Amino acid sequence: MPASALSPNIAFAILLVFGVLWIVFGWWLGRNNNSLDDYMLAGRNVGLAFASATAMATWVTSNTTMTAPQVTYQLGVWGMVGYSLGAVGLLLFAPLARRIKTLLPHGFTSGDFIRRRFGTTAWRIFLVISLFYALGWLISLGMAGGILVNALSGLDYHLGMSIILLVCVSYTLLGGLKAVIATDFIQTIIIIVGVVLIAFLVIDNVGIEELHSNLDEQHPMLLNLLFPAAIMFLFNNLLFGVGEIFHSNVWWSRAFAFRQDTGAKAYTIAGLCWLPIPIVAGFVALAAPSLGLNIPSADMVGPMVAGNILGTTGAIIVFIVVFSALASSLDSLLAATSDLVTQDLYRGHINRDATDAQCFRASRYIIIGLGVFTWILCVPRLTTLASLLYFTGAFVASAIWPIVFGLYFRWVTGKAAALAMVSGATIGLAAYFIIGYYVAALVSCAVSLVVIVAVSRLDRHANDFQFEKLSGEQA
Amino acid sequence: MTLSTSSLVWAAETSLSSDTTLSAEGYFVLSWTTEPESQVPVLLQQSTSENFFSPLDTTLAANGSITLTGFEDGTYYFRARQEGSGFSDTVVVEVVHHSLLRAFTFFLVGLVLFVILVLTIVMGNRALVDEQGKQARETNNAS
Repeated sequence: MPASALSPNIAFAILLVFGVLWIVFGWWLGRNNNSLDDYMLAGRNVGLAFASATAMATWVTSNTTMTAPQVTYQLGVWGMVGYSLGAVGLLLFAPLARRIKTLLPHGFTSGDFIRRRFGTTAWRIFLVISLFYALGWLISLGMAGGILVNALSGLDYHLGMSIILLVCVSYTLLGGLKAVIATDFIQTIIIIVGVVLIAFLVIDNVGIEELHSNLDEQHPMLLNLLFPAAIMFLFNNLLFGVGEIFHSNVWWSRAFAFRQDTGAKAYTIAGLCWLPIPIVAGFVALAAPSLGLNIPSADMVGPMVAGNILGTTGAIIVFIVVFSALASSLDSLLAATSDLVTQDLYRGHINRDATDAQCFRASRYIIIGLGVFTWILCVPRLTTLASLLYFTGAFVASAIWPIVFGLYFRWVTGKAAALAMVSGATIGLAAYFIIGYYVAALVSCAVSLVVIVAVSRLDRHANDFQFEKLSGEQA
Repeated sequence: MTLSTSSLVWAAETSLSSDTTLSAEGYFVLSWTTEPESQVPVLLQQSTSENFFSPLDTTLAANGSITLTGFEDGTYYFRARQEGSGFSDTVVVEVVHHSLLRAFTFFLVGLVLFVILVLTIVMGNRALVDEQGKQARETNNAS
């Protein structure tokens, strides 16, 4: 086994320095949070630069920097391209963000919309899907932190994972969404600069011709444009990304937080800026065979290749970039999931008369609780990042049509939305186990579409919904 | 009778296993252990022939796993050993990719869903713009 690219001491020092920086910054930003709107939605007044940066940084996750190389290593060129189709979700959310802000000027969460638009049953099903996805994503982020640190420096997986979770929980707790967005802005700059540097260094160190001939001889399917599983992966990943963004409170909370005319532009800019990043990250993985690297688990290929060819300096760059990507997504997810649990579970089910002050207090405990729960589930390291991530695809893709049709058309009923989500998720999960992870979201989306249209058309109460009902204060 | 010294040397046993014997994607994970444990590297041999004709050799760490990817349809044979020891049992992995018909069927279904999604958003926004325009005209007429 080759020596680690970074010494454990350097890795620990980087974690400590950046960890303290983010926590102090979070505390400083959060000292003026006086209301629930301030804490959860940054005062509903975020401008274009910060809006674009936070949207892009949040979508550049550890999955972008580690799962993109993994799927490229497993599915080749189409794996890399397919992963970058995740940008489509951001681009298509741009018009939805404008619609959401218009329809629900006093809204807090995606759950708010589902409850008011479709009623209690659909709302509860949606919450199960949303929380399951949020926890899956949180666990994948926590695991990625441990894997990254271990792959680059040999530092124990559990130690790296614990430190990263502790740092992110701390500054999110102290600063709320303001801290999340401000740190995202800085993390975006780090990510863009770092990725450009890494791409340049990889091409400089490993010739394209050598890379191509090695793959062609020993791993021919990775260059094959008729690789069947990879072809199946393309639209599956596009629809998975759409499902993630359309349903998740991470993006809805931003739509509520951004200024009125900012959301659509911010999501468009973010989508276009994000698109090349998984291509670069995926390309790095194709260098692994040329380097004769033993990749124990496919989700380690990205940091292992970068560490091997870039030396210590390059490994430090990779470490900081991926740590920034992790932190920028973990904080957003913690904040948004806490919002959802606070509004939809605590206020929606447990304490219906909760005041804003009570919700403000509850949200902080919920952030801590989410951090602890995530840590517990990260400890056993149950599977690879891609398998975990795409497991949630069957769930989130089933929510696409209830969201989209529900925002624009009156004829979709609550019963149809509920049945679409349940049937899509169930059959999507079956497809995950019977065929593979690369079709689960696509199957779920297709089934959900058929069910929502068929059941709505059969319901005599279709065309009854009045959109004006959505714009009132919290019910 | 004399015994050769080599037969008195304790031979480490290498165990090799795969996470699957049938792969539809051309990737799989091989894992190996040595008994007793040692730091001596392991030689992994890969061949498309049961007799390991023209094998591809890879040197690996003593204990661990390796993810192999990018294999075309076919049957692949693997075995491993430490220097001075005998080979492990042969592990056989068969790669049978999904058919192109199945692949393109999923692709076309995905394309149709994507087109419906884009049209829905475009038409939904256009209907809203028309409705807002109509309301603005009615307000102007009333005033």
